[in-house]
Amino acid sequence: MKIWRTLQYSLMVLALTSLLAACATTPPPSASTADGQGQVAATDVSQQPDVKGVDGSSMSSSGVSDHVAVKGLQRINFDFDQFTLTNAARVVLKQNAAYLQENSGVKVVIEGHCDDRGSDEYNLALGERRAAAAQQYLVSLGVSASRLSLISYGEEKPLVAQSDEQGWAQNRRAEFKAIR
Amino acid sequence: MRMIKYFLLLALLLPLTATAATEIEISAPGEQRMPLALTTFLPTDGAAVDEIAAEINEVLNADLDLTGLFRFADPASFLSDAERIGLYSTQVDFAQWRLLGADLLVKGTYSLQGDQLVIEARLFDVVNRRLKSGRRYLGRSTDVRRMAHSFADQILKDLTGEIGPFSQRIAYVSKQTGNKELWLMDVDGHAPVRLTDHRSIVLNPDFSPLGKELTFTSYVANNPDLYRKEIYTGQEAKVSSRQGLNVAGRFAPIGREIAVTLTKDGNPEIYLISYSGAIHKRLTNNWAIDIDPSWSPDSGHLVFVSNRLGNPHLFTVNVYTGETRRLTTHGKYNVTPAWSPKGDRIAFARQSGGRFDLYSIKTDGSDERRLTFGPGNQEHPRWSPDGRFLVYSSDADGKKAIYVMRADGTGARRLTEAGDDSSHPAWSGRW
Amino acid sequence: MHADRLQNMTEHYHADTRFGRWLLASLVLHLVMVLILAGGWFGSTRRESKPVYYVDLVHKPVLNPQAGRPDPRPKVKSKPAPVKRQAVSVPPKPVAPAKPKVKIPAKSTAPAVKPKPDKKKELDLQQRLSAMREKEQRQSEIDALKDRLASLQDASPATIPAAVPVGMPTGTGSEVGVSIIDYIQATIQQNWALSPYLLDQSRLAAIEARVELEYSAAGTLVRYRILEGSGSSQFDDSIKTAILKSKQLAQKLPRNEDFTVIFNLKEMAAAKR
Repeated sequence: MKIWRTLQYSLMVLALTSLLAACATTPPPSASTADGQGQVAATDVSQQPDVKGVDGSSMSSSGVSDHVAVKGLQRINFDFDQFTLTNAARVVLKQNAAYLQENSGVKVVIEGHCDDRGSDEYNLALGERRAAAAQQYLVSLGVSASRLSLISYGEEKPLVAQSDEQGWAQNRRAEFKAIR
Repeated sequence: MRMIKYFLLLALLLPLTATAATEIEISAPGEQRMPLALTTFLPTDGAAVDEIAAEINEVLNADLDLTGLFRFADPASFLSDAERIGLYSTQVDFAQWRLLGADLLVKGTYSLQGDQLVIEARLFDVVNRRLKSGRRYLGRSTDVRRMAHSFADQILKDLTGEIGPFSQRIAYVSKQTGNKELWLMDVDGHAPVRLTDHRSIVLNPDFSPLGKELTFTSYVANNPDLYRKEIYTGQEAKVSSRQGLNVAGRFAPIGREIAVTLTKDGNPEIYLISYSGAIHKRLTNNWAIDIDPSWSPDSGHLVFVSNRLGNPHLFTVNVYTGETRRLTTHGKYNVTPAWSPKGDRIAFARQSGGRFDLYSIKTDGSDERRLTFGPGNQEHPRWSPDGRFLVYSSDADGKKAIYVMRADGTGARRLTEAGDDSSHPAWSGRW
Repeated sequence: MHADRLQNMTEHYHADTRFGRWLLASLVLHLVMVLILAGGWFGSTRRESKPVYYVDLVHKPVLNPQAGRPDPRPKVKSKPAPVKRQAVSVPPKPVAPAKPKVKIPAKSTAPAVKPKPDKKKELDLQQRLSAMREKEQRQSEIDALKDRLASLQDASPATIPAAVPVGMPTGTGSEVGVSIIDYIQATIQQNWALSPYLLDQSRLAAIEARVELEYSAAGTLVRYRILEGSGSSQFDDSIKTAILKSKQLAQKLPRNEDFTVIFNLKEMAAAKR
């Protein structure tokens, strides 16, 4: 009898997981790691550190920091309309955490990005959640939260201009940039 | 078929006609557009400047055509009266215009002395043989379009009781410099001017109720912060630069408040803040994404986007009680709501089959209507202040550009160059 | 996914009665899932309605179907609408005959002015030909207009000008005639121009006005009286204009006609739905 029950339980679990697997979307192509691979859009703020104030504006350009991509920190990708971390992303984040623990002086800004489908505003929120998910995981791996800040660019800074499944998958990402 | 019906009806009514007066029902006008003759404005004194006359004609034609109120009589069929100055009803040969079937007639003159331009514009009621509206405009030669737009506004006022929106401006975001910056143009797409030089990312402008101030989000300080900018002085100030998003700011139509989405506590929520950025009230409190508010004209409610039930849908919230209601039930992705300044409808964009199209819905969630049918994506709808038109962005012609159409989805036309990558329009109030 | 599951389960179905409970629970859970999905909690899809265009193909009745013959004249392409309208609506008003005759030549010179500057640049034959053709077309349009003017001037109930409606397409030329009432209704309706954009869209179905009209046997409007206004000045103004435009019918009537016209937008409201 007992064997039967355990068998039933395991069958239920099996059925449920197969159900979940069927519902889940196909994982995106593995996160591209080489920085030179994708053409970065010309609007990249990090390449324009000398932002000037507008005439009569109360702003100043001081305090604008320059964020740079660091070799040891690799970007992660997300599924469509999701901010949960994929297994592939977790692997990358573990590597990133290791790098941050080795280089304890480095502070990082996590950028959340989306593909260009969907509303701009909604994607800003989604991008921020992606960055936050990455941040939480890094913290859980022992990186100090004070070294990690967030910014969402929504769909404003696509990695690639391609408008197809592959391009979208590359653009749904979180990037890790060191603050100098 | 119709004939048979009429005969039957007549046969039934025949015995009655002997005693009672006959009743005739006319259940639709023969024409849904008023026949209008738009003549070329004539020079009074001084030399004729064809460009001025042509520009007046072009602006009036475009503005009046957009209203959908008029059918233009063919200028080729105009008779001698079109070439006569007639600023008074006694000077106009109305019989000629009746012959062409025109019910309304626009005539006018201009005179250019040095740089001083005077335009006299008239709208006549041909059938009743009287002046409906007359206006004299004084200005410089560069003000031609302004004057013509103003007269188009006036024509709408005299015919409908409500002034037109053609003298106002449209603010929008354009990437033509390579960066998303804030731009301003006439409502027909003329005279675009760049307002910001942030060389960063500028998003989502909105006009203050007095029209001369804009709010927008910029990444210039490496965070999506909310700014406020006076258009004439160019003065700019940070309104909210809290950690995280400070986006989709919307000025309340009444009262000095801005509705904005902040993620300072880790989750996107909608707040009411003062013009200086102090938080007055938090309107949403939900684990989900709450974003992109738009005010009801009485400032009593907001419509916003939330994915609290799974997919992004529209919800309304009472600003005073916080009572929240779901607005849209159809579709899986409803975003960027804009509450009509008339208060009766809410326009929004729905993504379906990978494309965005525009819809409008009554504020109680009934009577949903689809307004656009592709091709491309139609997004970011915003109302003209009189509620007659919607301005929006579309990539139907390639890159995103600003378009305008009537509130029922008819008469769509592109306003900005197709290659300029322009989006997020906002129509100013009275200037 | 369901098939997989059921197969797995049915293999062991008879083994244990408690298994039935599990199956029941599973079914109930699935049912709940289906209900939630069907209930639109996650947003339901709906078939988009395609845009519907309403085109009025009804042929307006005319008083004199004996005129049921194709119009032999070549139609002036550029302005079919004015021809129709004016045909019924414009009374044979004494339009000063001298005016158009004097002024039309002045108008006709206008197109000739256009190519002038080009002449300096050695117009090639093509351009000149097209200019001439354009001029010719203008001239023919103006001639047609002149003809219409002339025909209107001597338009009397007895002689029907050529531009008057040419009857029903099915007319055999032997019909006795359409009812006076239908004729007047069609005339006023054709003269009634009103844009729905002038009105509160939500009121389209409810708006209505009643007007009493009296026509003399000569086809002239003797008087009109608004019995019930609609409450919208735009609507009422459009009606008054329509009546004024219909104050002289192109036909004599057999007798004085006194009747009430109800103006509403029921058809328009139906089309808007």
